[in-house]
Amino acid sequence: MKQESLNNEDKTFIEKMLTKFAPNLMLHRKVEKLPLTINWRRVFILPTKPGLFFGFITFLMLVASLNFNNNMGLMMTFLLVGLAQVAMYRVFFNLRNLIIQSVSTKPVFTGEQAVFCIHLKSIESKYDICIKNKQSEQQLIKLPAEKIQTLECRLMTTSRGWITCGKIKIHTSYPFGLFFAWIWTNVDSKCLVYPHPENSPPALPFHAQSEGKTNVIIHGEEFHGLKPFQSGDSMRLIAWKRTAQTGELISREFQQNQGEKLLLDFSQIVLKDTEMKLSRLTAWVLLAKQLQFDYCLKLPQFNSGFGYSNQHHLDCLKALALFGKSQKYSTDNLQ
Amino acid sequence: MSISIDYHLLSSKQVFWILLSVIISISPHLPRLPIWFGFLAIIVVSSRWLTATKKLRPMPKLMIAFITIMLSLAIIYFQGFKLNREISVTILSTMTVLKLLETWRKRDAWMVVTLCYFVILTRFFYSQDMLLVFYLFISVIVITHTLYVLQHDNDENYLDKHEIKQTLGLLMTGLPLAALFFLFFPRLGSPIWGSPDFFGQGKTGMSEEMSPGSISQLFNDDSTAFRVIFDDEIPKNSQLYWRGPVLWDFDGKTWSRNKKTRSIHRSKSFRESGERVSYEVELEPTGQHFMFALDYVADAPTEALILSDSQLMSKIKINQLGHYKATSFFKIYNPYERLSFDALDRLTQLPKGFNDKTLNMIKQWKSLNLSPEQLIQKALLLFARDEFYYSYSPPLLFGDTVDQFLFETKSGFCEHYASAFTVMMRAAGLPTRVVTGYQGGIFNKDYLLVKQSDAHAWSEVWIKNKGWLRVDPTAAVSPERVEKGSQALMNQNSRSWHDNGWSRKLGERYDGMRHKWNKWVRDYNAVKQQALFNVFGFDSQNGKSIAIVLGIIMISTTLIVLLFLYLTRPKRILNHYDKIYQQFLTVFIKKGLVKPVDLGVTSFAESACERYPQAQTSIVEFTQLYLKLRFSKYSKKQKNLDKRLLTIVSKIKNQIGEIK
Repeated sequence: MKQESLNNEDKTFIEKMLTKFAPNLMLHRKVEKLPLTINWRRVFILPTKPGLFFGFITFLMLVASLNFNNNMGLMMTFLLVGLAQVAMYRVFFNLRNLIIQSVSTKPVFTGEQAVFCIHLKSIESKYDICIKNKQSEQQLIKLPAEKIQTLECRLMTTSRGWITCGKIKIHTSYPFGLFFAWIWTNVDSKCLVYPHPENSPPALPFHAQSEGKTNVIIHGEEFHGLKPFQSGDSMRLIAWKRTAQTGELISREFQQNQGEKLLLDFSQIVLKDTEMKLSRLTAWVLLAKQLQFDYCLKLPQFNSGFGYSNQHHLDCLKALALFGKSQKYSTDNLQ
Repeated sequence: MSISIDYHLLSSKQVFWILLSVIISISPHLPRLPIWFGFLAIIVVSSRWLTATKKLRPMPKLMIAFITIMLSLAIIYFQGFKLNREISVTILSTMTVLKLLETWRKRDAWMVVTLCYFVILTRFFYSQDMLLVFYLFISVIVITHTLYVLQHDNDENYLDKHEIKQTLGLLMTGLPLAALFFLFFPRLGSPIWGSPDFFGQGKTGMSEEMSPGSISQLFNDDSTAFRVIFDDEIPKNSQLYWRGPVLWDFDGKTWSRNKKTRSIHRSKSFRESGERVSYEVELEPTGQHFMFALDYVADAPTEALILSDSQLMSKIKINQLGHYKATSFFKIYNPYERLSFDALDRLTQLPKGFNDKTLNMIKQWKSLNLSPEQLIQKALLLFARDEFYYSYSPPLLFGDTVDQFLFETKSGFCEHYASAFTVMMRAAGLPTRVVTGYQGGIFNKDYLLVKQSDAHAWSEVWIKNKGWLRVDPTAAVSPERVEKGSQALMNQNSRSWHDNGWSRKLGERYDGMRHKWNKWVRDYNAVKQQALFNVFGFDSQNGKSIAIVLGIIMISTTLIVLLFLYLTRPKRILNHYDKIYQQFLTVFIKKGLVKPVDLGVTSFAESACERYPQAQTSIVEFTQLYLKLRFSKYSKKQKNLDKRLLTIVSKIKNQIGEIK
């Protein structure tokens, strides 16, 4: 504490100003709350490559006209200079006062692309607004006044939990493509990422609690047949004789009449890696939903209870996504 | 690794505008460019268009490279391997057109379109006529709109009015800076690189030779030769002999200048009294050295020389609009010139074996023992009496041109009369020469307009002990030509179907505008700029003050542009209702009911009604009224309704408050 206050006193005027205005200048911004109106102070403008070429040609025209004292040529040159000046301000006006109304997302599974729908609005018509992040770029041709339009920002997901869209760049080159105006922002956005469902999960773990109608291959008492070993199969199920004959791990399958109530218990899965466990549970939850079973997801510190509704399904997936993570979203899973 | 190009990255609308820009920028060059260029442009433009509309496959790269090399060779073969204006423009135009064949991406498109600006600029090195300024604006609008279309890829309508309006608006906003920079941007006194001849043009107007038909050809040309502003009174038409090239040598058909004796006087100073006239001449570019002044010129402008035969010569080729001041005397004899014996001999030379009939006639006259003045009178009387006609379309002459003219056709233009008269005088032993130039002019409000059609030729005879005497044989045949100018002839019979007084008046009015244009725009230079700077109290030679002026312009135009863009931004008329709605929302926020951003107005009203059923009617009424006012056009009548909205808000406040 003492040191901090000391530091504060030591700060020069410039440093003080920097801390005051840094939010407007810094590229790495704090998360900003929505709706966000783009302030003119944070808009940057630079010429584009065509703009530089335009400048080069204008300069050549100026030199040629001046050298030969060609007044018509000078007139045209200065008209282009005037045009460039107007284009520069126009590009700025095209970005200023743009409102980022909200960001909406739909949950995705790890490995899929998270789509952040950014809803834009403005009190005046805007044109050619682009939104860009590290992985995607999308352009909006026209944003009519007082109407909300949506642009998408895509992000590949690599791990479960909350992810944010991160730093996004909103830019425009309207009207002539000679200048490029942009802002950086880190808008308040989050997308829930479920664990990646296991590709070919073992059958659902039924517990005989009531009679079912269909036969589904599950761990039962009645021997049914053999199948290739699958990770997660119990060691006791391995048909050792058969395995010795073929050289492949073969496990025995037992059939049992299916029960409608499913208990998907984290602690009962025999896998070392937590993520793999969650992955399997996710696959089971999806399968159970598909087959319309009554199921219950049990995780350490979470018990969904039996249910089959949509909300129940989403709650389960959310619990799986956020297992072991704080409820708050963070940016560490950004690429 | 081969990169495959998507040949349809540019929409057909964009291609349409790119092609239009290229066409509009090269077309003013077409008459000057080689013929093959026109065909090339048509083929390239149409093939690019067909490719864009997917009717033709894109040309293979090798083929494009082959065409480019072949055309470069063609340019070198046809136009040589020099750096001059013609070749530069040909290369620039050819490459701009060829670039179209490989314009698949926006990057290339931007390049082509920006180059079009430069192609337009090169047109001004040929001519800076006023009509071109309109062309400039149209082409800049088209090219700029192409930039707009390239950026704003909204493929709906090729000629979208809204989009064109945007481009026009932005260009107009750029005008103040353009105008101020034009006035204040420092100019160069003389070129840094290249001589003015680099951009020289073909010779026009009076030439340094005269043969039958050369001046009557000019008679059909109504373009401006020069303009004159007299300091004081305007002289009579018959005094306006604008002296041009003086022709000494005759080969039987053509008169030409004496190039060998070029003794030059820097200037002449005359102490003699007499009627002086001072004037300023604005000479249109001729591509030659001649300058024109009234006979006899007394004071030469500094940029000119006076040759020994009283002819004004510019030191450099006149490729730009020239201005000079001159003073002249009106005298019958030119007393300032002294002739050497060599010159006297030369001025009585005639080609041998030509025009025998004429020589015989003069021999007879000589036997009458007349004084030179009497001889001249006799010759003029011959023209006046003997059924000679003044005609701008005389029969063609071959061989003994003077004989044919004097004894057969008897119809000719001033060059025929001047030529015949000079031959006659030389045959009589009097040193005589032909002077070409212009005669007369038209008073066009505040200046004298001299057109090419005022071209004229007359003779000068050397009278011993007196000097040069100007004799105009045309005046003997057609006095009104000299009294009233060439206009009188045109009124007698028109030169072509579209030639009448009305069309000529129109042409003169247009020249009046051009005169002003030249004065204020085309001829704005370092000197005039200096005067402008002085008005504002700046020194135009001082870099610091120029920087300040340009800085002020930048800042002020920035303010103008910002103000314009600010004023033309769409205004938020409905802001007022949003405020009222915000008040409506705060009523609920206080009670802990917050409207989510993505919830609609009606949906929020429903949830509010659910929570506060006692205020249902008020909430519904408010919502309906608000939506009606907010999303319909604003009119004054609805002001009462605004108040109504506010009263409902306070009513809701009470209704909700009651229960808690």
